[in-house]
This record gives sequence, structure tokens and C-alpha cells, in this order.
Amino acid sequence: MSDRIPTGNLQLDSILSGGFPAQSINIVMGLPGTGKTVLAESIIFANASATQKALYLSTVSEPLDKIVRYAQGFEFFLPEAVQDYVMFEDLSQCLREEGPEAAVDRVISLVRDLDARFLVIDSFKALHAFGTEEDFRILIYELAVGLSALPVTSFWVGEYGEGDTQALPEFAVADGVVELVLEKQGTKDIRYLRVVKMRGSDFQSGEQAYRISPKGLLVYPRLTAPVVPIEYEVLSERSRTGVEVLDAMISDGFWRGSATVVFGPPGCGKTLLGLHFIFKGIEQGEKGFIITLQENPTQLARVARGFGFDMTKAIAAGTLRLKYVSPVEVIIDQVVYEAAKEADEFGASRLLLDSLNDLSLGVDPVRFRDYTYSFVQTMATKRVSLLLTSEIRDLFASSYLSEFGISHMADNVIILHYLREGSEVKRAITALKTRASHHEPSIRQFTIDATGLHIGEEFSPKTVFGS
Amino acid sequence: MILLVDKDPISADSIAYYLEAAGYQVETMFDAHHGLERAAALDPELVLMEVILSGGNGLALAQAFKSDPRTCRLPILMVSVLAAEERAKKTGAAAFLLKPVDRQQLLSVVSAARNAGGRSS
Repeated sequence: MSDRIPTGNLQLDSILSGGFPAQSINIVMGLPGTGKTVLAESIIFANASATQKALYLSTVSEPLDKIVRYAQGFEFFLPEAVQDYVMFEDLSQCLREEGPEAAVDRVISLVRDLDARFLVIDSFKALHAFGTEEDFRILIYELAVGLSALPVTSFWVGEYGEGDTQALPEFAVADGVVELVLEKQGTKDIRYLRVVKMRGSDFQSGEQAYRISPKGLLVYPRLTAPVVPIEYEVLSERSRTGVEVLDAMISDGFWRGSATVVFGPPGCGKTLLGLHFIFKGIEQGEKGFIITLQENPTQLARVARGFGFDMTKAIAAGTLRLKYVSPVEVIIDQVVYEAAKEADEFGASRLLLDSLNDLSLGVDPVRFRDYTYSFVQTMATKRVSLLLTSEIRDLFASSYLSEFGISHMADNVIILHYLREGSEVKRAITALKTRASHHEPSIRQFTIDATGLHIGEEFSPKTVFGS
Repeated sequence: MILLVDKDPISADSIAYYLEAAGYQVETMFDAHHGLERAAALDPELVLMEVILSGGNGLALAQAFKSDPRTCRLPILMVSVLAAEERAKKTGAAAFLLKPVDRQQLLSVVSAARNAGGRSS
């Protein structure tokens, strides 16, 4: 047997450095509704076979019938495996009629008789109802000793809360502890998985978002920027924006692999500048990837078509990929993880994310900044040129640029805003920052017509300063 | 007499209650151990069997019943929480009911199986 028990979930395996250590005792903890049973079931169905049997023991928390009934709704459930090599047994009767000591003896004898290699006890915490804490401590020890003499990997599932990890004896004997948390963020419920402990084994720390799907738990490992930066080849290539005058303002385009944030008030042309950027890349044979949390695909295609950008054709030709994420349902961990993965798989050279504000909805600001930083760093190592849009509230000028602390992470900052000239309101563009590159810091006016965005002359100081 | 083989005393109690209320005599077994010998000794007119049994598989036990001359004529009804209708029918089971069972459906299936087996209450 391998020294690791894979979970059947590649993302979770990557967090656990390959899976749970073989022949270990692991606690899967979390409050009701977090998916503990689903996780335990998916692990045993992924691993059990005719020669590696699994034993699933229910106690007094949820009846065995219900456990089996709900498990059948998941794709990992193999009905033909049930009572053949995935054995479901009820421990509640033994517990109630004979007590916890007899139940521990029964667990050991069942594992031994079946030669089971995987054991789930669900719920383990419910065993506390039978006997005093002192008795229980001895029983836990006896169970752990008994199991350690057998080639079995155990998962003790329980509705444990945060305080239990310090107080209850099972946490002292457990080799691994995985916590599932359900948290409210605004109007959304966000689920996080956290590896609390994994004895003698490396693992990825921190909160990892997950969803419960028909496939089981879909885990989105936290995107982290490497502690020691990865060395990668910096290309001397430029990524032209598709707006000629802007390219001239920033020394013939942005550096390839750089991150650009386009700030601007509503309706000023941020998405349009992003479309220019993506379609210029496509024109040059580069693949583009658009992640939109603003317009849905139909709306965006119509907007693009209005400026002569044929998204449908580009998608059909395989040069453009579009991913729509509803801002209502956004889980930043999922969006960032999938965006990085899909951009890589698609071979995108340019990526437009529209917008950062929608991505930040209901997300803790520190978490948002960490994720955005990690995303920018990850894309840089893959030499994907990023264009991120960000809405600012002030229509005419803004002395305060980024609510998220994003501008300092970006290589380039472009500001779109409005200026009053006499009785007219005009659009203005400024290249505020281009890292490692010269730029013209003037404020120029621009217009939008059916062919897109056109930059004109510099505004006069009188217009800019209003005197 | 009807022999009920189920792992779960609560579930078995409900089924036995419905059957006894309808005038049947019910004997219950809670695991698969020595199931064949015990069934042969009891000589029931009908067997109701769960797929998930303590210490075994109801489908395998049903097959064993069908292969043994002492029990091969026994009508078997599979009653399970596991959706295994096709596999149950392949073992020769007369019917399959998914738990939790509907009382009327249970009684009608039992009655039909007994009539087909040549006995009636």
C-alpha cells in the first residue's frame, strides 16, 4: 500500500501533499451541513476495492438508512460496491444496548474480520454521550491502540467546533484533523476547508474554499504567491493595446506579462479599452481570455459587436474564451483558481478581468488583496498580460485611486475620467504609471464611436485646472 | 409466517408493524449470519430482505436462497434503502421496494407474492 491515501479529489490531494497518510487516524470535523459525511464517503469510494475493503459505521447521530439514501445522490457512490467491498454497519444498537466498551471491541473485531483498510465512524463525537469523559479518554486510547495494530486508515467524523480541538481526547490521538467551515459573507454562504493538523506530513495551510456538488466536494486551493519568487524569463515583447495613441503614450504598449489596471467612473470606456486590448492580441495571433462579472455573455457580445469586435467568431475560431461569473454568486477563491487554470489550459496570452469591484463583492478586503496579488504574480510567471478594470466613484477627478490597495500591485495604471470644458463634459485618459517603462503623463481627451476608442490632443491647462 | 431480514431494528419494527396489523405473523433476523439455515428451519411463506445487512449482502443471500433446494421456492421481496431494483430482480426476487416503504404498496406486494406462491391469508 502507498504511504498516501488519495482523496479522489486532485485539488484536495494537492493541499494534503498527495492525500492522507496511510494507516493514520484522521478527524473530519465541522458543524452540521458542512459536508463531513460527503467527504468521508467520497474518500472510501475512491479507494475501496475487492482487496481493500472499507467499513462505514454509523453511530447515534444519523441513521444508517439516511446516510446511504443521501450518498446515492453523489456521482462517487458505487451501488454495486455496497456490502461487497464498501460495508455499511450500524453501531448504534451495540452502543445503546452494550455500552461504549463493547462498541470499541466491535469496531476492532469488524475491521479485523473484514480485513478493512478504510474505516469511517460517523459520528464519532456522538460517542461522548455514552459514559464520562474520563472513561471516554481510556476508550479512545484503547481504540487508537487497537487500530494502530491494523493496516487501516481511519476517519472519525464529528460535529466538533473550534473549542473541541483543545479539550477532547480524540484530538490528541488523531494524526490528522481536517475542519470544514460554513461562513456567512454578506448574503452568501462560503465554505472553507482547513487542515488543522497532519502529523509528520506537509500540507497547504490556510482556508481553502469548497463547494458541495454532485461530484462531492469541489475544492479550490488557495492561490498563493510563492514565498521565494519563481525565476522566469522576462520577455522584451510589448503588448499593444489596440489604441494607437495610447500605445505611443506608453512606449509602444505594455510589457508582455505585466498587469494593468484601468480605473474609471461608470460608462467611461473601461470595458471598451479591455476589448481593444484583447482583440489587438487576437489580431496578432495571441489568444485572449475574458472573465466578465459585469455584462453577461449575450450583453457583452452585443456591446463588442457595436464596436466592430466579433466575439462569436473569435470564440468559434478558438482564439477567444469567455467566462461569465455572476457577481451575486462569486467566490473569489473559485474565480481566481479557475481563471488561472483555464487561462493556462487555453494558452491565453492576454486576459481581461471586468471588473475588480464585482470580484470584491462581499469579500474581506485583506483576502481580496491577497488573492489579487497572488493572481497577478501567477499570471506574470506565465507571461499572460492582464488588464483589470476598476470602477471609481468620482466622475471628474479622483485623488483616491484604489479602494483595494491594488494600484501598487499593478505594473501599469491607466485612468479614464471626465473633464468639464466650458459647458461640455469630455472624456479624458491618463497613463499614470508604467513600471520599467517610459510613459507620457499627459491628460488627453478621447472619444468613443462605432469603431471604438480614439485618443486626441492633450487638454489645455485651463480645462484641467479649471481656471 | 413472513421472515423479515433487516440490519436496522427501527426500520424492521415499522415493516413488522404494518404486516402484523394486516394479520401476518412476522419473524425478524438482524444479520446475514447463518441466514440460509435459519430460514430453512423457520420455513416461512415469504421473505422480506434488505440489501444492506449486517455482516453481508442481501443480494448474495437471496441468491443463496434461490440456489438451495430447501429455500429455492420461497418468494423473496427485497426492501432496501439502496436503489438496487435491477440487481434485486436478477437474483430472482419477486419485487423490490425502496425504503421508506409505503404501507399500501408493501401490503399489496406481499399479498401478490403470497398468492403467486400459492398461499393466502
